[in-house]
Amino acid sequence: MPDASVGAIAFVTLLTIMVGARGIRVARTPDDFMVAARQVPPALNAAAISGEYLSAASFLGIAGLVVAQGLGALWYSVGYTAGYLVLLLLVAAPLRRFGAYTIPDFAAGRLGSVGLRQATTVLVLVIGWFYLLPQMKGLADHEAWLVRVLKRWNRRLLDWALWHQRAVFGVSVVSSDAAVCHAVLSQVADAVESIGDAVLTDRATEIVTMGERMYGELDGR
Amino acid sequence: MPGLGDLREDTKHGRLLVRSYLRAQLGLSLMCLTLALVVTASFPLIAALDPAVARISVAGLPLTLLVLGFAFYPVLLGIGWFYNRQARHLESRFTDLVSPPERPPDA
Repeated sequence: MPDASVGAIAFVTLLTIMVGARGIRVARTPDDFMVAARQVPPALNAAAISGEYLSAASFLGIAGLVVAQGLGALWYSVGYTAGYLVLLLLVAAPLRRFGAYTIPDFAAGRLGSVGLRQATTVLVLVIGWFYLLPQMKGLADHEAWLVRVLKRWNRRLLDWALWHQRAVFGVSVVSSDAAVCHAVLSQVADAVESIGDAVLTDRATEIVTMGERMYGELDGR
Repeated sequence: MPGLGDLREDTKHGRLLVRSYLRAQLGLSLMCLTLALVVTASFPLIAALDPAVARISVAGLPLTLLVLGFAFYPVLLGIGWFYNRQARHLESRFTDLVSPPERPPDA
């Protein structure tokens, strides 16, 4: 059953839709959406992005890592920052020159396909949903309704993949490197184990044995 | 003189102009990326070549803390600023090239 968190999510979603519906009267073109019709100066926008960036991960996480592993852990924050530079050099600037504001815009504009735009949008949403999963687990809220739904999808996906063994093997065979194949197989075994379903576990054991035999031959070749 | 008309009509000259502009922008991006990589890789490389470097302390603070906690950020910001300026410069040069400024009315 959905719980209080779903109510909160529904409230925020409704609020966003209402703001969007109001905004649509003012904003007519994609340019109107970009940093509020360019009314937000760069410094203020940078401050907003920084606010988002200074999350629990960067305050508590980095401090904790430095305590646990020493000063080398500061590399994480250097990495995040360098990531912004790479984003600027390879993604943001070309997108801006192209005249697109989002990756779906760019995909649709560059390759002239509406289907591709929709596929990109769906991918972004799926990635967002699975990004939520570890966050909620971190909050010890692993029995929340949303997490249960995501887990059920995960289970279905695994169920499908295990009965279509090419889907499992195909991922690893491309590299034809035995080490990668073993890694993929052990990941499958771990994923199935975390679900705790007897039928799936049996099937996974079969698949892993089959795979190990196959890759063993590959290795000896 | 090739110009805006060539771009609109997608002629051979127009395509050549656009391609050279895109190559210049890509070259700039890759140059800045290499610069950032060299800067970030230099500290661990130096520390690996001479482990004593990691034990240096400046005014009671370990050098590693100063470099990883402070020194990298202005450098990365500087590279971003430099990139932004150069990219704008390339952009305005391209715009000037394809549409030469109008002759002043009194000339």
